[in-house]
Amino acid sequence: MTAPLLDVQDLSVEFHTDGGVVHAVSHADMSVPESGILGLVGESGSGKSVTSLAVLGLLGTRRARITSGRILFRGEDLLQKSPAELRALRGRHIGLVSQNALSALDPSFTIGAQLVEVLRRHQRLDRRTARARALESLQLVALPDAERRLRAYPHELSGGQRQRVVIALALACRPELLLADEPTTALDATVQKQILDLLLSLNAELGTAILVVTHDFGVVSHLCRTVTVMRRGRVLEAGTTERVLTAPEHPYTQALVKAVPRLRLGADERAVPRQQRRLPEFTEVLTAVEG
Amino acid sequence: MNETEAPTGLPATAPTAPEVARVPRPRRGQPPARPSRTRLAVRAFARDRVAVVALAVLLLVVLASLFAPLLAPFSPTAGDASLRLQGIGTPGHPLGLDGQGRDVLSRLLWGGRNSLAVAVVPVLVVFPIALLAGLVAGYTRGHLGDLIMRLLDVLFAFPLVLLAIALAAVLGAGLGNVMLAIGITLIPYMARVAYTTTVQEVGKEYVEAARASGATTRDLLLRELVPNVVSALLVYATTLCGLMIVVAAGLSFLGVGVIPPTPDWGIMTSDGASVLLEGKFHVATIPGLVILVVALSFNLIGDGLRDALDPRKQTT
Amino acid sequence: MIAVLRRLGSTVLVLLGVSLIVFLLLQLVPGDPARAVLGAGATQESLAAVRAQLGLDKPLAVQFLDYLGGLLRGDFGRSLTVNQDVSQLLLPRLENTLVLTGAALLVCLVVGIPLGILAARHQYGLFDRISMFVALAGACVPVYWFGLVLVGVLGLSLDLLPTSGMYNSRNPGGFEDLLAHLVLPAFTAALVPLAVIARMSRSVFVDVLQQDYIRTLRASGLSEASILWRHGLRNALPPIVNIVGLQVGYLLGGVIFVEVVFGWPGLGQQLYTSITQRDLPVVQAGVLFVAVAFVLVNLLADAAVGVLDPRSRRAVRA
Repeated sequence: MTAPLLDVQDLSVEFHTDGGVVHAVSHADMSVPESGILGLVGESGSGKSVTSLAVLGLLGTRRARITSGRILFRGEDLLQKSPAELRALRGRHIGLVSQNALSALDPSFTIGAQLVEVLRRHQRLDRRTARARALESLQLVALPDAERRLRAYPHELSGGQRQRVVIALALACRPELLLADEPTTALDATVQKQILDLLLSLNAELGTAILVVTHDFGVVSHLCRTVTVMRRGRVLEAGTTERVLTAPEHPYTQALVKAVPRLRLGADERAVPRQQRRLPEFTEVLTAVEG
Repeated sequence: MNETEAPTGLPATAPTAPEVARVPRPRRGQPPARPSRTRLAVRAFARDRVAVVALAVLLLVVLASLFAPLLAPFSPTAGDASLRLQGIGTPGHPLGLDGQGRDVLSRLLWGGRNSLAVAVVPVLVVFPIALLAGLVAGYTRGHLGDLIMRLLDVLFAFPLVLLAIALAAVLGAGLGNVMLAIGITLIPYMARVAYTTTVQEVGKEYVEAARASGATTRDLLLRELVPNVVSALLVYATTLCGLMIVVAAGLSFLGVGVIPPTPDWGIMTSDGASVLLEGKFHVATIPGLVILVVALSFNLIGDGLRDALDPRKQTT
Repeated sequence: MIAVLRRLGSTVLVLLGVSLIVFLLLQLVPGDPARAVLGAGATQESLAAVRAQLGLDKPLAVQFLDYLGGLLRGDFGRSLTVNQDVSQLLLPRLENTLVLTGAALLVCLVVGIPLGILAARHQYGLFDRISMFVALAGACVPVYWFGLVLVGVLGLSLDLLPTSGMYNSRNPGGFEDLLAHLVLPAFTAALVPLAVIARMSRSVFVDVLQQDYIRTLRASGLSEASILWRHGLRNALPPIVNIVGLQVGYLLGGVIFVEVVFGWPGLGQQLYTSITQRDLPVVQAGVLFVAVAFVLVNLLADAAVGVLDPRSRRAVRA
């Protein structure tokens, strides 16, 4: 077995706030194999988003401190890299699809301009080539009418289209790893599935490994081969999606999983009335079980 | 100018309607679950060291002005020509004497009464007027409200300082007229803040919730809306006091404010201008510094108030 | 298009209201304006003459229509103290005032906006705290006093720069002479609006830097320079332009003091002289000129925002 593409080992992150020190992540381990898809699941405040920001080196220097661990990407520790080295890595080798599709694009620049700027930042391309590559990226994410969209401003697109553009931007330089932080949360239910399917097909086509950060087990079961469950900054459980869903070891995961199959029964027995194919949010399940 | 714009024709530093308490108040008949809003705000303010120091400085200035008759060592108007323009540290005259041989310290103390009154009284008088106009225009959204806002738009076309100068110039100098001029100038600015806050608050969910739970209009206005609008206006008014100290003294400086020889910080600065050529800087410098310090104190208190009234920064 | 027409329409209405208020200023004069102009010892004939010149013998509505008609023809009345039409008297001075205001505005923009951006970049850092406290203090400075201090220290004591007038009176030079004379008044006039613009630019920028798309750009590996000065500035600019437009109002007001202190032969100084001489037509016209300039600047600012912001209408979060 080869070394994983991304290997987070013993990562701890602290936040210094007015109220004291918050341990956002404590001794977390996780790994994403080459071309694999890992789901990082947890409720809000569990440290899952902080972990993904740490991988990108975007924690912000003032209040956040990484107190232990290593983040190995292609065998190199990202925590040892200089800010300039990290900048060269971001967008080129690791792409981010961020939480809120609606506000993730700069409203003052056309989609083409944003794609071209990122492409030219990382690859020595002349304007024409960069524009052609930008168009390719938009076609890759199956954005209809891509040629015309290059000249469009973000506000002229729908939410689903914008998320496709965000993915195109993240994949423009064909990175080996894609971090998808709640990639579908802000979208309509029908569009959610389209975006998940797109991520799956990109993974199959390009071999891009994906780290999906989500609170939504529906996303995990649709997308991920392996899953890591976090709560209060700690990793509770990790394994293949199938194993974690069928034989969870930790009581917290068990509580969750016990709630999941019930939703697969007839519509009249659903505990939480929600859109189809979408499982309840983590916290909802918890309150249903604990309360 | 469109309606969402903050009234920023001002050098005031709290131009947007500040973040104000938007915690739903406890329903009638239930004991409040936490200390009252006022008490929380006071506590939060007391923790803000900068604001507390500014408040102390301001209180000191106010008290010194109030007790000017007791504190001032000399007459503010009668001078001793033989000591004319003696500098800082002259025996018996710690801040020196002006061009007419008058004691600068005494004039400063007496002048504080006029300078503070001319700035603060109009703000206090306009406060309820602006509150009412803003609430009516913002809550009813009817023709009356439209009319009020159109009128204010016209007043906004005049730069604040210019309007104050023009009004003071036609009304004529004198304490009462200056207050009137400043008061009229303030109305559009304060009413706009009351209006903007009202519109913002009416659009928020807690007003909706209060309505849905059967609150009457009167209840809604008095218990939910007014406290929030008052807080916002209070913060703004504090900042405006600082600005008006500068503007009012400026009117006196131009000769359309308080009439000499009545002591006033603006007049003292203007007196100092005429002796500047003689190389005597203290006469103009001292009152100017006092104006600066008082205006800054008002601004810092305003900043402190804004934070203290923000429930997200309060802790029980 | 409709929005543009509406904006223009409301501007016309505001200008109409402005001229009404300027007209009414005369009615605010306590007692008989003619007597106020001439003083207590005036004869009946001279009083009547002044009344006729000011049009005070007609009904108010007619007076206003006459006044408005005059304005449209470019007739702003006649000065009571100088044997000159008001427009003849004021137009060259307006030009001088615009030179001073323009220079001060340039200082505000070139110093104020970058200062705000740098403070926002280092939010809560030492530079942010110090520069924003200084800016708050700067916003509280009485302009007239600051001008005097500069005159005293830089002009009289150190004799570095000219402290009065627009050109050297004995040996008037060209552009260089004007620049030397501009330095002190322009900086004095700029001080307060600069401080306010710096503080507001900071808060606009802090807001922009917290937006999701900034994180997207960072995650795309763009340089800090591009994020700050290309994407950040481009998005912060519309609200900042609005703020600057409104600050021009303070600039135009503050310039009155500056012109008096530095003997700058502009509108403000003329206004000051005319106020002391109770030359009301000149005061009226001067106030009108400044107000109209202010209204037009804000119209321009709104137009600039329309061009800058692709969404064209965005709430100003200042």
